[in-house]
Amino acid sequence: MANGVNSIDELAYVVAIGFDVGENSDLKISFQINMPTSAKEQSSDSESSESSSSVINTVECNSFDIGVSLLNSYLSKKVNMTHCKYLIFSEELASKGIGNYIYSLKNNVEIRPTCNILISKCGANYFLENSKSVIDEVAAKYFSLETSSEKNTSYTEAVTLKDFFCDLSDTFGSPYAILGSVNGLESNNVSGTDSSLNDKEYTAKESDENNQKNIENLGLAIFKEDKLIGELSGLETIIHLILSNNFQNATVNIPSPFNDSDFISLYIYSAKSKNSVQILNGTPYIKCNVDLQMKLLTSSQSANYMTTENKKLIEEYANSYFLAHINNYLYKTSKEFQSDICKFGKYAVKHFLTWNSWTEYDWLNKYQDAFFKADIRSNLSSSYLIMETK
Amino acid sequence: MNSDKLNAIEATFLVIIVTLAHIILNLPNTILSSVGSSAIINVLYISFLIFIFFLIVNKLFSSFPGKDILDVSEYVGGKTLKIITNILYTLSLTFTCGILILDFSEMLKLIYFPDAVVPFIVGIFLLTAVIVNKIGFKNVVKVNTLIVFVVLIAVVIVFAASFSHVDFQRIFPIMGKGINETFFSGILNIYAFAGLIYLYLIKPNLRNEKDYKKVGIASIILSSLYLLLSVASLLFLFPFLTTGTETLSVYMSTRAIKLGKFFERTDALFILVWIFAFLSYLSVIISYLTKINKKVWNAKHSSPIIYIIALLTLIATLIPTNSTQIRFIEDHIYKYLSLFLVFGYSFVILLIGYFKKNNYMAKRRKTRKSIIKINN
Repeated sequence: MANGVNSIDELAYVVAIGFDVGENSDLKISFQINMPTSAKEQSSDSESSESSSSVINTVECNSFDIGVSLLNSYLSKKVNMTHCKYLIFSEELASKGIGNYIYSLKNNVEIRPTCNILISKCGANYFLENSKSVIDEVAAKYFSLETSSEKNTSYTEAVTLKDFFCDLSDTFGSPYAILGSVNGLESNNVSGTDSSLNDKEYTAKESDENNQKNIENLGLAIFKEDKLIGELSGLETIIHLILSNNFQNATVNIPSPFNDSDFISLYIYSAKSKNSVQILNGTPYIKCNVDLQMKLLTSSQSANYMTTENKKLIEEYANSYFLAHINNYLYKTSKEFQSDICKFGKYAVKHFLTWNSWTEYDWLNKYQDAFFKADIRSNLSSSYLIMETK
Repeated sequence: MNSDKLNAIEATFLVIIVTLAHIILNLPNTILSSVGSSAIINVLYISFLIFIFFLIVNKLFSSFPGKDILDVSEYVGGKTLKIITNILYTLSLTFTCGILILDFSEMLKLIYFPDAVVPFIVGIFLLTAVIVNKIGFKNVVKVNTLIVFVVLIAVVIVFAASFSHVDFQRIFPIMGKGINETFFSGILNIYAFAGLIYLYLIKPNLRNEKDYKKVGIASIILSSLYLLLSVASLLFLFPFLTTGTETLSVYMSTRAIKLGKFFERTDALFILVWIFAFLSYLSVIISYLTKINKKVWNAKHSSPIIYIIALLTLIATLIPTNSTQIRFIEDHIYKYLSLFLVFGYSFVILLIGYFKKNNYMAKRRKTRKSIIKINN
């Protein structure tokens, strides 16, 4: 029994694990380990004030558990993953399939089911090396804050190991994960000065370049079975959240109905989608009735947006803007990705009496034949403080 | 002796602790993998059947006021059948209890004590149960009442906390793996209520015998509700269970619980509650087996019987050599053993006893009528 007891000094706490394709083996696993305060203080004597609060160790191996054993063999402490916040897979590895790794991770008692799954557009090791925050010194806290930022923007969705594992084994829909990258990775991706770039094109790796590299989670990585097949941008993710009824709030720019070259900003604070599926001649017919509640953020010296006519005009513009994006999202996931990440299968399953008839219908493959009808009703409830200007 | 008598609540909680212990481990998972998404319908169906079954048992037992199944066995087949019934009850309960404690100890080892030896964990459970039983039956009952209450609250918390993540559409396809699996072969899932075996033993211990029907109905309703909540939370949370993936399912559902920002890792709290539940379960089994063995063998003292029962349980824990065997015993041997003992053997004895007694009473009434006729 005594052997099983470890004091805190004997443990190395992993806060994030990165998975890359190995050069000599199947896998290259990077462990980001939080440094205890005392150890950090000792090292900071010789380093600059910007010293990291964590260290990264990388091992090449054929499986995750062997990687942990290898790391244990050359660390003076026992690796402990109970505080791991992020599991990062490189885009290259995810394209090959990550099902087996997910099953192994889910089978590990130390890794929490609430751990987030992220697909990195750059290498997972590179992602971890640049996962320094300007405002948070403790890596674990930084990671948890990074995930919670989705609640303020809706540009991504917090996908946990439990969610991904459930989706992977589900017959109602397909898995997806957080899409992430490192800001300023390649300057040719950056369009900070390009005025034509609007929020519908925002995706990970395409934000303004920072002098200091920083991780960024934006959009979703889409899977078919366990293989990565595509990605959604920030605005597509907002649409995804609306249709899957997981939406919290977001700020969206739509073209101004009053001036062709202008945009007006809308704060959407509530969105509900009533989805239904019918099977017509063996083909899914999916209907989505979306109800949006929003407020107007944009104001100007001469505008008076809240008159009845103007309010109606903005609502109509918002309806057609969102309807176009909803249709684009639905046909993109169905025809291009062939992946039902919205889980429309759960609305279709009620037409089947037994499990056998449902699995024989093979919803996940039938989704590519689906056709859609979307309706939208938006309600502009108010502006904030400035209601009227002249 | 009078201090050993139970009120209705104590008796009800004594009956349902056995069902609770099985639910904590793998019972909902087994039901889900056998019938699929129709698990909720199946649970409602078997709950209805067990309710009918109990009404019949209650009717049959009404001919034997203040008697348990051992007394009925004696009435039907004399001392020999009483001893056979006692041996069957003792061996099957110690065996299933031993396997269940072993399974739970394996789970504890896996989660918290990777370097511990399983017999050591089992030994701690048994030692505690023996000490508790030495203190007295009434204490076992009182502590059990408290623990069952806490466990019931815990399962409601698990269900409520996972409520925001559930997909109610997972109840479809409504007939799950098929109508046959749900209503015909699925009838075998009635073994989930094998804890009602205590309803064959508890009658002489009731303070008020009229409470027997109340105790039976209350324990069936509570067990059904608990089973329904556990099955529903797993069905709505985990799609992979209906496709047959074996997991520590109830533990997994507690790991998914997140109560705000402060309470993220609440599974440790649930494990603590379950440890108490298993201690209580073990203590209740040992105390009841001690009670019936003391009665059958006319023993003066309880202590030697407590040690023997604990030893038999320990031996049972040494039988399986790996977790595959444990799972096989729980899913198959326990299932058919329970069906045989609760719904077969004991019921048949009670039925024979009922008809024998009714025939005897009818004959007595006939004789009395003849005597009255002659006298007139």
